Amino acid sequence: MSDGPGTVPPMADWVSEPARRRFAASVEGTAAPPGSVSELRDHYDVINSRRLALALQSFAVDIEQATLGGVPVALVTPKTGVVDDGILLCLHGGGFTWGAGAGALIEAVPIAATARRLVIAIDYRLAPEHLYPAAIDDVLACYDQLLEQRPAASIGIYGCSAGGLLAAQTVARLIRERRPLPGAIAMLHAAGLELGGDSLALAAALNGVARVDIPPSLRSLPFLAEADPADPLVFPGDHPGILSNFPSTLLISGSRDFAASSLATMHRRLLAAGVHAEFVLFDGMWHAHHVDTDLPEARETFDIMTRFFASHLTA
Amino acid sequence: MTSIKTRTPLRAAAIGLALAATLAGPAIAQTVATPQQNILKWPLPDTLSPEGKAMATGMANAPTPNPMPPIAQQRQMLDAMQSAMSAPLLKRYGVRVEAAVIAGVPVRIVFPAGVTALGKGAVLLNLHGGGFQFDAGSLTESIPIAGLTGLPVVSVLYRLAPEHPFPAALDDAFAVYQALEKKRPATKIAVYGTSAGAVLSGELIAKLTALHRPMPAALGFFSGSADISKHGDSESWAPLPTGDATLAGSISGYVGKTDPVDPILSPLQGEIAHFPPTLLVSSSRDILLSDTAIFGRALLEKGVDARLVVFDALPHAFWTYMDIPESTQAQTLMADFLKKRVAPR
Repeated sequence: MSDGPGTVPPMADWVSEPARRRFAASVEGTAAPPGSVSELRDHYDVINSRRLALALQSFAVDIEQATLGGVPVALVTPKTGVVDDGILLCLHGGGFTWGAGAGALIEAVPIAATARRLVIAIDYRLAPEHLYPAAIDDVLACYDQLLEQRPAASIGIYGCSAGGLLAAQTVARLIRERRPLPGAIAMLHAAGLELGGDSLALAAALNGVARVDIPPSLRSLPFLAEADPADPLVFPGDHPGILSNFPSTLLISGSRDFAASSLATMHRRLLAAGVHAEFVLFDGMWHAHHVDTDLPEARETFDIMTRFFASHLTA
Repeated sequence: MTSIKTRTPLRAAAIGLALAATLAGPAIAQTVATPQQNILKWPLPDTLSPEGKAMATGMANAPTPNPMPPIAQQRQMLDAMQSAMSAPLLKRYGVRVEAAVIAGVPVRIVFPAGVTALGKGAVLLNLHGGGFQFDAGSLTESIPIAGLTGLPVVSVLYRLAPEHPFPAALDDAFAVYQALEKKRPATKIAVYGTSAGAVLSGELIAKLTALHRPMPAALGFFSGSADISKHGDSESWAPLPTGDATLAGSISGYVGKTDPVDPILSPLQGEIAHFPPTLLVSSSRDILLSDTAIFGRALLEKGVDARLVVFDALPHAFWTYMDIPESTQAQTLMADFLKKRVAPR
């Protein structure tokens, strides 16, 4: 185990040429993000706005800002029309601290266009200003509003990174409160389980970064500063009694994603709890690889999510 | 158990692991793990069971012979390991093992309690692991699955490399499959294998595809490769207990003069859209994790019902030689998947 960047293993032969180039550029251009929260948000917003502009060239959607249950949201509808009445809630990543606006749209736009469904990207309140469970309360406020017009089984929830944990926490809360569950959920690059295992140990070496640049845990996120990690509503993945009530679940990760072991373990725990769960592991892909929406591996991710929700939502 | 009793199976298991790892292919030398990177020696996460932790630690610390003994001696050791490990399994699962010959090929038939003949009913075909050169699983891969499914398992004792290169093993598997298919529709047969056996089982499906034969009900592809011409990320961190020098040599005994991109030898090079529903199982310390995951994704892309399960922090093909709760979970998933498709109620 080395402490600093070492030699990064070459990409496997089956990784696409654009993904190889993207990865090489990211290893080359790794720079520490700025320190203060507002600088951090600006830093990622610049990156995400650039990515969004690119995504909007490929994915034809209409975007409308609205509020739902008092929470600001973006309604993303495909220009091609919707395939049926099933809709998706998108919970963006960004460590519960950044990723609103353009960041949320990068994750919502390709899915709306590929799945041909209304995607509602929720601008949930962020940490450190708003701690656990503020984000979950916001998601539930939207969800409750939707339930007034449609069955829960027609709603899917998905999220990447912090959004993956948030999806799991939202479902855990619904289970605890015995409320109707969404038809299906998808968790990408993080699930309702603490980071750990082999992927966390390997991530620095596989990504050509220093160990300090890999997040050591989820519980160290400001969002969870006052939360109890043993609470089943914080990390439901440690609680089989909660897991056994989960709806059909899709989990996606990559072999260079520090969260891969966490997702693999969440998956096998869901299976052990009798839940229909599917896991796709992209060899060579890194944390949140699909935010580069032009990569073939990103398109494949959107296709997999599309098929999954088509099979598991009842419209 | 006393330490003396555990030592032999443990060491044999370590050798088995080393041998199984020799499956991985000629591309390995490119990204050999350094001793510091040997992930088998890394700390084990708390998501593992205490039994899993203890056994993984013991095996990681067991010495690996260097150099490896001659092939005949390794085969003897692995046979002894199969016998030693199968004794408690036979008791636990209440099954009976019978030696037989089907279509001229030696097989082991594992009968679950209450079943005395293959008849015309559902049957599982197992192709064992062991780097194509050894039998590292004809008992440990078949006994638990026969017990958990209540279905008979036919494990093929196919001809081994290097004496018999490709396609000898596949020809033997195919001959047994055809004989089974004469007595029942293909939909009452499921095929599964671990490591080299997973590779073979994929090759069998590829061969059936090429011959336009009906597909079996399901495929169990447990830590294998469907394209031996390529290598993936896991080769950069998975352990190579025997060192890099011998690996290319040991796989070449199986590949022989066949082109690595031959679509039967490497099914990913051909048409895979007709593959039956497939369960794939691997682990994060498995050199074949990437190959297994890649095959799962490729099947999904073609619309095949493919399910991948990855066990964190455990070594290659652990369910065939580690008697731990994670192995039972893996075998239960395998048994449920195969049974649901080959003998739906």
